[in-house]
Amino acid sequence: MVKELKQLEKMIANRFMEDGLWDMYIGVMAVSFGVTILSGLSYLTGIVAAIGFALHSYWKSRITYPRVGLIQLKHRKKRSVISIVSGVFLFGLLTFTMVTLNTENTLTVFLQDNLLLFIAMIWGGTVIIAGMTFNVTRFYVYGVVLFFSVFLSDLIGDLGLNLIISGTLVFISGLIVMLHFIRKYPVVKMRD
Amino acid sequence: MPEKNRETTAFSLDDIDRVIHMPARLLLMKVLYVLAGADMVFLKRETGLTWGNLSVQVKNLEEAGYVSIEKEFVDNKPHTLIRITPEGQAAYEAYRKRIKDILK
Repeated sequence: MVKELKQLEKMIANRFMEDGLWDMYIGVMAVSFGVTILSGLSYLTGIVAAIGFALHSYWKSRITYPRVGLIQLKHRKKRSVISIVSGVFLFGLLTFTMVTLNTENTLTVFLQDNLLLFIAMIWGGTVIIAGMTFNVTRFYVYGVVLFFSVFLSDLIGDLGLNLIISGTLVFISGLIVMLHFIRKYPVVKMRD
Repeated sequence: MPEKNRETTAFSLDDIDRVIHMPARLLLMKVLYVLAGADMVFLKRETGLTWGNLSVQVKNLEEAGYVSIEKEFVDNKPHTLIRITPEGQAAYEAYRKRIKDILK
């Protein structure tokens, strides 16, 4: 496809990220992860992720589609999303497996010594890669905020609390983005 | 254009696809070309056409075999999805090339 048509495709896909729903989902996930760390309720993040995803789809159909319509992107965009999710999942699984292994393997020891760095990379990296894939620059800021809120939790504050604060900030940002979206795109009337 | 003059024209306009050449349909084809599918709300927002005009232009494109119209249900509501067909893609590419050649 020629350059200007690729630009058009990007611009169209970008409009569906203007609703702020993914921002809010990322924020809620960070908050729930923080609460999980503080409370020790290990199942909480999983439950919130599932409920959040269902609510995300519901609000997408209530807020986004009546305003900007519904599109289906070409397969290569789907592949990118699947690659991100799979990559993050595998990276997380690998890190978790290595950390919990009771061996003196140098990689395991390295991971255990730098656990915060890897958690920060999973959080910040995922959000930044998502921003790159969907061409949403504000996700870079979220990624950096989440990365440092985890990575610097040894020096400033506490890991759980830092995630709750940064997640709340991301959520509020998403809410502002959504309000802007609602004002910018009124609901399309079905008939003239 | 008189027949005598047409023979001397460097670029014949006869082979320009008249179905795509109309501005509203051209806009629709351009948008549909980059997507796997789009609904009427999206196309209305994107083109700024009225519902009536949009329906007519989509119907014309469907009759030319350039788009397909799929009726489906999203959240238990009837929903119309428009997709460009392989013939439509080929026609749009040919149209782009032809116009570029003329404008060169």
